[in-house]
Amino acid sequence: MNKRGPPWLATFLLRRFAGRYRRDALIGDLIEEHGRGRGSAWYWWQALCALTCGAQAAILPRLPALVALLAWWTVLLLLTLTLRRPVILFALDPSVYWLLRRKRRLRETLGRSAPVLLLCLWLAPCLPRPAAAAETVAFQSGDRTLHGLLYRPQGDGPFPAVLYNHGSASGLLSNQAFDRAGPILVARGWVVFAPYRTGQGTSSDAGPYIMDEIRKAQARGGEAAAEHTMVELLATGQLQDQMAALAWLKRQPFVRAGQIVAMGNSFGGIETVLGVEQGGYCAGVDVAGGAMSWEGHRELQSRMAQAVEHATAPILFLQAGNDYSVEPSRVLHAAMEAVHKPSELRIYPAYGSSKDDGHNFGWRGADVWMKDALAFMEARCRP
Amino acid sequence: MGKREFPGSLEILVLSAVLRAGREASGIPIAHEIEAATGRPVPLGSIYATLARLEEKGMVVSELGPPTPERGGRARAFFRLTTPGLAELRHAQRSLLALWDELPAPGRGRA
Repeated sequence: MNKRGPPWLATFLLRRFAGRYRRDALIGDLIEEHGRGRGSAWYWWQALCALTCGAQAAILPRLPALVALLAWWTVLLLLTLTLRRPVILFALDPSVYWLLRRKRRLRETLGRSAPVLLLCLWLAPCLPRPAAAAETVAFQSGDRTLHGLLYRPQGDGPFPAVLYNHGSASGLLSNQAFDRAGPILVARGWVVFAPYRTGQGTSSDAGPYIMDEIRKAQARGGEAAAEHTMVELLATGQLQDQMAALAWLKRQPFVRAGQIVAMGNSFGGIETVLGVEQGGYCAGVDVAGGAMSWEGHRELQSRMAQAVEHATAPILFLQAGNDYSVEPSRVLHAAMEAVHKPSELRIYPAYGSSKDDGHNFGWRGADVWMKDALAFMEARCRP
Repeated sequence: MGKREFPGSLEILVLSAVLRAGREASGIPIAHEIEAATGRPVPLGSIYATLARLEEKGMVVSELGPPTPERGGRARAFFRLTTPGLAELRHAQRSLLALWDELPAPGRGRA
């Protein structure tokens, strides 16, 4: 057993500069091994290797752009030195024209600043990037192993978090919604967890796809059977998946378990309302939940109304004015007000030219509505 | 159809180690499996960088266990092969064995 702690400087460097992928798990492995008797030299060697790998992983994707930029500048500088036609060069690149006019000064400036430039080039990959890449994580829902995408801000946290419920899109299409909302929220200091429920995306091998089940029910018993299947699945198996994802998120050391918001679009909006009814969230953001299925579907209307009447946290309802129906937001907001539950409603101007565009505002228009959603979430969850 | 991308040698080692370590496949057991098989230590940073590439390619998935005090409050990441990962590993095994069969015995040339 090693009674002395691991070298703090090496740990600090790892926390700050090692690759983002499973950084905490790597540091935990090193601390555990050090505690079992590995020396500080071993710890430092591992840390330096991890830092080098992290820097390499950050630089490699940018290498083609860097090489192209350097080649372009080399060509232009050679032209600057050989031609005496600054006007042509100005047309190619105004900055080269500027350099031509100040050649002597340029040499002096470059000579003095070269070490600083080199240092900046080396450190650039380590600087914080607001748009964090997502990592795939697994979680258990009953006996099923499901997967989801996790977006994290820089640092150890703990951070407030958003559990993002996807819609009914097949395959990995919901990744587009996650990639719209995720980076905006991460830049504001929120962790975003977007679990794929059974049958969709990276959890498609865990069970049947909900839309296939709805279509089968429709073929068997018509529209009423389809609606019943949709409501039943969303309120049972799919809801269980959401709550399992919430339980997983609450266990993470980088998440503030008391500051988790449920958010979702379309089917994900319905899931959000059902999730807030269950409890465990500090707020909910229902984006166009049930808009495509609302008209004439009494069972859905009644189940969602029941959910908001028992809501355990405030809910923000938002939609574009040209969605298939804005009634779900209006009706559910009114239902919450009637039982004195805190709720807000935002109906935005038409987005695009069709009802489909209006419905897709739920994810495509994230940069439009997220400001309002963040104000609502921060007022309720980060007082 | 996209160009097939073959896994690198470290990727094959890591895939094999994840399979061998089974349910306990996390950073340290994977490193131990590789060291036991090759006789050479591989830095954990390289293993995690390889796992990141493999997860991006959909060959492994990972999940976090509970955080523990002996790890400074950090969770352990557990890895397992996906179906494409297992298929890729089997393909690599078949290719290497086929090539090995064609090799002359050590010390003898081909007639």
